Amino acid sequence: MPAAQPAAVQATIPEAPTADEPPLLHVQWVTLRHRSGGRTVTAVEEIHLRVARGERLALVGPSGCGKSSLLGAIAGFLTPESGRITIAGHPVLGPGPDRAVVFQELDQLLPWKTVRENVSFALRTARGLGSREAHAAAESALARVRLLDRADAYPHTLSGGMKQRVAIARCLALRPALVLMDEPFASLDALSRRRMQDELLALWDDASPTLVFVTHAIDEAVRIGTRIVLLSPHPGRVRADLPVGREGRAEGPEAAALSRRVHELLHSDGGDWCI
Amino acid sequence: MHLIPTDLDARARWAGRLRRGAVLAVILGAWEGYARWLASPLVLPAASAVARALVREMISGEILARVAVSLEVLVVGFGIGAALAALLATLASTTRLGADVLTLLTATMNPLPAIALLPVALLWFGIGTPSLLFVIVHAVLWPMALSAHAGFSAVSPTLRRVGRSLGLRGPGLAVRILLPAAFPQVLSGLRVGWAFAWRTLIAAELVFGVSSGSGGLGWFIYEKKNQLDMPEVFAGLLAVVVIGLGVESGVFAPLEARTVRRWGMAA
Repeated sequence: MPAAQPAAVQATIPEAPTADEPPLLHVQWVTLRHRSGGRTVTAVEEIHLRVARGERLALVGPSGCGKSSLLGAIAGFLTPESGRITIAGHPVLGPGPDRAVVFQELDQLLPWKTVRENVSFALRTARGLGSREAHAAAESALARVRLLDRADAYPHTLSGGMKQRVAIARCLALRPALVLMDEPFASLDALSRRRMQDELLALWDDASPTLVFVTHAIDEAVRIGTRIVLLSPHPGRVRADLPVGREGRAEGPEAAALSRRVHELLHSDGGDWCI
Repeated sequence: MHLIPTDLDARARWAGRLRRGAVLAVILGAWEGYARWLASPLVLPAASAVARALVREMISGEILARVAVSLEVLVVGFGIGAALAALLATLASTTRLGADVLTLLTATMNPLPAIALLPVALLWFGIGTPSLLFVIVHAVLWPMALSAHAGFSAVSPTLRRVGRSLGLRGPGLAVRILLPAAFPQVLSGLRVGWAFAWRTLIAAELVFGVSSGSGGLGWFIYEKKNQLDMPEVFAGLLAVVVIGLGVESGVFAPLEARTVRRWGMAA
């Protein structure tokens, strides 16, 4: 059973200058604020995280803990007020093709392009592939999510789960170093959601990119993550950082125990917020 | 399995056409009957007389020449208006000042009927095509700019982010993501703009429309009225309607079917 590291403890440990190689993702004391209705809202405060290559980090927290904002900052859509974010040592200055994003919204596919064109357009735009190469790469990506037979369909004819599978195929075809998923299954019904989690795990192998997966569902975090980081809200801070194990995919009693542990951590926070 | 719905669709379409045809036949019959009973061709020529006049004008080619004159002015004016609308909407979507300018201009200009500007246009540009173009541009610019701007503003933040994370920005983002994403509104703006332009042109030609001897369709109607040739006047009006419907069903409806409907973006 992995031990929890409360945020307060972790935050006081200074950054150890150990590794020669910088971590794939390094979030360094990042504070994000945005203006809302004339007031300045602090989304996350002093977040510090190192994510190693190959990790699957599940970022969990209740609504309003700033987990999506943090993901947006890693993607380069939002600029931190203080602190900085680096990818393999290079600071994030804006969105870039080294990071691919899967959003929660089902409208992330371009409705005026077919499924195949959605993937090949991304490959031509972000990776500069020629149209023939992009076409072939799109087909193999769609085959991996078992949607090759729908390649010529327009997105509006697909189910929600299929749309998200295309979005995942598009994202993986880009071969990014880092994949960012912002509650990608939250708009799906419970059954499809469970199936999609299995499919995502089946897609993930040793050659797969590092993943940061934002979710508000504890069971999902426990299934997907090789490591779980818990954020507390208002403003978002790291509440706990729990390793799940290299293989991730906690099952059975182990998973139940881990879920319970996450629940306890959430409710020990005063109980004024819940998932 | 697919055959049954298609068959039903086709049947529904035919039933609709039949219904509309029947309504049209009743109206034409009533018109013919009332005109004959009235027996005053100067007030209301019979439908059959109008049809004969239309055929006569088609054969002589006069009405077609007039239509060609009108359409030429219309296409040029519509094109200028659409280009200006694209420029204004782009400025409004990229800069705050541009948005203020668009809001202010459309708020003040939209309630102003294009025809009301004719006296001013006459003063500035004299009698002739430039004045017609001026009022057409005025008629189409504001509604098209407004709907394009509304379309750009309504593009989902997710799609913008998708484009940006693929490395698109500035004009690339505008052309490859924003424009197609806003296309439903852009298309409806083009439609409204076209209808405005057509009506405005006919009205403007009715007031003055002779440029270098050959006027457009509006002028044709006006001339025939002066000659008290009422069947010809009605034939001209009928041509206005037919062309309006023809552009809608020959240009805009197929364009919509190929784009917005196919993409599932119809509102």
